[in-house]
Amino acid sequence: MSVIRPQLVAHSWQLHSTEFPVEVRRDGGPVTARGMTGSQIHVEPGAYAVIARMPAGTTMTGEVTVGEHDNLIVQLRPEPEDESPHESEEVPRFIWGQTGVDIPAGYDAPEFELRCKLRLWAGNALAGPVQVESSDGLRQQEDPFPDGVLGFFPSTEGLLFAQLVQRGRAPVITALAVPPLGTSPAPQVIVTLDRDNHFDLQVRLSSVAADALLSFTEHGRSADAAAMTETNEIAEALLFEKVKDPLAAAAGGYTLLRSGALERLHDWTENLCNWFPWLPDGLVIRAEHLVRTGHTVEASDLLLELPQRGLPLFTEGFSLALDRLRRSDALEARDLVGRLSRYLPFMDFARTFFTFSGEEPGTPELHALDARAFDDIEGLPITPRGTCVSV
Amino acid sequence: MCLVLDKRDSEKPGVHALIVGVSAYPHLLNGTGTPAPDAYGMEQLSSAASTAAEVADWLMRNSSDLAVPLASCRLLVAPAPGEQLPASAAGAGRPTQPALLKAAKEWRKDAATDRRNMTVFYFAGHGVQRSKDDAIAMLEDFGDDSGGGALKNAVSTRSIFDGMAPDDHVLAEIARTQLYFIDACRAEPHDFKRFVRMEPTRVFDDASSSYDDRCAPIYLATLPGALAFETDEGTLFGQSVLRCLEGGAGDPSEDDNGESVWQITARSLERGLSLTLAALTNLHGAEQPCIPGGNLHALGTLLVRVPKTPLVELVIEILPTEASDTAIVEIVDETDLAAALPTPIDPHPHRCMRKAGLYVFRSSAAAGGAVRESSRLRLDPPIYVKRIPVP
Repeated sequence: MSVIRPQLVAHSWQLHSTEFPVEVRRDGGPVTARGMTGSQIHVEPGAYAVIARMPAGTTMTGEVTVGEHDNLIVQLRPEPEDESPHESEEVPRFIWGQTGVDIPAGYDAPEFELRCKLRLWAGNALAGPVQVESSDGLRQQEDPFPDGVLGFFPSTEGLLFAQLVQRGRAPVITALAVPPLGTSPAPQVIVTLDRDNHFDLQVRLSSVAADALLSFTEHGRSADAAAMTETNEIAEALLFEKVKDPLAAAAGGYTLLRSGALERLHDWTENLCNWFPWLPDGLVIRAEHLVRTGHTVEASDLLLELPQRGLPLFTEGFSLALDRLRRSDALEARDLVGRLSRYLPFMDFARTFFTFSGEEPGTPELHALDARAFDDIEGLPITPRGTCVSV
Repeated sequence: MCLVLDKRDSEKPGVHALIVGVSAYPHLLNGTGTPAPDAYGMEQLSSAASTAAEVADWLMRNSSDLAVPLASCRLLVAPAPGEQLPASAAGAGRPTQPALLKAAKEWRKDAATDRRNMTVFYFAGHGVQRSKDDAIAMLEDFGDDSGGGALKNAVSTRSIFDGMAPDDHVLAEIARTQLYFIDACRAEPHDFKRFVRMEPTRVFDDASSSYDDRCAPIYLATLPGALAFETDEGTLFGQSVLRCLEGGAGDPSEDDNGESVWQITARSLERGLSLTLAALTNLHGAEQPCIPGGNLHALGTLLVRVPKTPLVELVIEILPTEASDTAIVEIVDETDLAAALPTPIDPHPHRCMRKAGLYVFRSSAAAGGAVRESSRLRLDPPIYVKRIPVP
């Protein structure tokens, strides 16, 4: 047997430090082996194409001819037209699937219509009213992203909702949480402009490995997310390193639950639940783990504590909590099902993070904003290239 | 009476299918029966029954290509007036609540005879998603005002999934490979909001299983009415499923003799379905991937053998678009046979079908211009988008 070691040709530390699933094809044809970038893959002598499909779908390919007992590095590159023009654009392009758009001329004119507002809300929508935060709480990411892609870091701690408001469309709200200052990285709020000149909103994690897991699933490739679990234990490692990044740990926990790898959850879900009270998903993951290991009563009791924690940040968590609560006849469970179910008609299940439409986080609705309603909303004004001072 | 195929053999594993399609809802708007007290804005559908019947027909025609042969197929359909069903649908039952509960009970009994069995559940009709794994599926007698709750004649698809889980008793040997397809035309949010807290009928009691080792993905798509049932060829989701089964979800592999073969696994079905549905919905002005739920365990499990090299939908996009007026593009296959695209490329992007395999793309800005050649690219089903930058 011989060994090949696939390596991505990338410029950013984020891609270099993350391992991605690869397939090895004999003469470019049938898949003969699977593995990860950066790891050793054993093959018989022969000619192979080695292919990594990045989470957003870009293919990185390398070809190699292997002799008996060879140990070769195979460099995997994108097609020239898919290459990233700047290292800071590699994560948006290859992980998130944001390659940018052509921004129309005149975008910076004050009256230009391609404008939206971003605002933050803070609070626990399951426990009571939430408050609008000052737009000072959003700091724009400075590294260049593809055109029409903007990143913002929230500086407020705790349970938040990012809301994107644009003229003629219903406001979109995504749940997020920022850990206590300095303890672990905050997620990033991403605003994107699409080819139809509509803005969109998403949340991305600072851990590229966790973000890749989530992105594989978003792109209908949970098998690749599972591969990152099975072959290289990435999801397990994310869960283990929960103190370093609890949000990434939650992403790892959900991936392990979905792929049925219960043994890799160990007893770490209990600590994820207990150590990070600001993270509602720790509780959901723990409860689901308890259910899957036969402790349904404890799981039901735990889920009833969700109102003290808040809405789960992940769509997966929202779904799991609701599915389990629906089976309970307890009065508190019925009440909680009712409170969660209000979001159902207005939420987007295709999103990783809990996303719904509404003018404020406590009252999901589907109302397009007319020009006057848009103008009346105070938020951080955003143009396709960044924030704007005067509207 | 709904068994349209019965080749059950207790000695051999087989596929057991339960397929349900409801186009005609007598009690909904424009129906033929007594109007429902509240139709929640839902009208008649045009192709849910025929789509379901086509899926059943495909399974019957391709039994020998399935991982294990088709052993039973239960079909419940309510076609719209004039809706054509394949001849194999003769003998199908009506998709009322009592009929579904009875068919599901017998289906589970058959599935429980051998863990090597495989099951297929397909529902097409009105429904709403209420978690990543659950939808409310409205049956033919929905709204019949015969007493009970408003959702008495609707079922929770999650209750079917849960009830098919292995346990330590009569379901210990139940099929470990189970596929669930939920193809729902969703109610509008403001109508959905009115019944979001109501409970539909559970098909099975809760399982008490604490260890679920099924490979059991749930492919759930709830598209708005116009998008879900717009074409004469069946629902967009149903078309996607059939294209995938025909090879669109094919994955190249090697058999025991090292020969190249194409097969569909749970892994490749997920990717194929997501890409195909996103592409089909995109043609209708939206883009909705299919994000699987359920148990994403053992996704390498073989589902279907693809007897011949599948076709790939090749989309060629010239960058910038204006260059498509003069660009010269050739597609060269593994035998060096070159096929030229027409100049100008109109419509643009160019779409064509090609056999899966290795191809090289040659391009120039105009006749006589410098020719640029891509590396050897592997075109895999279902779709390959090739962007060709022309200077």
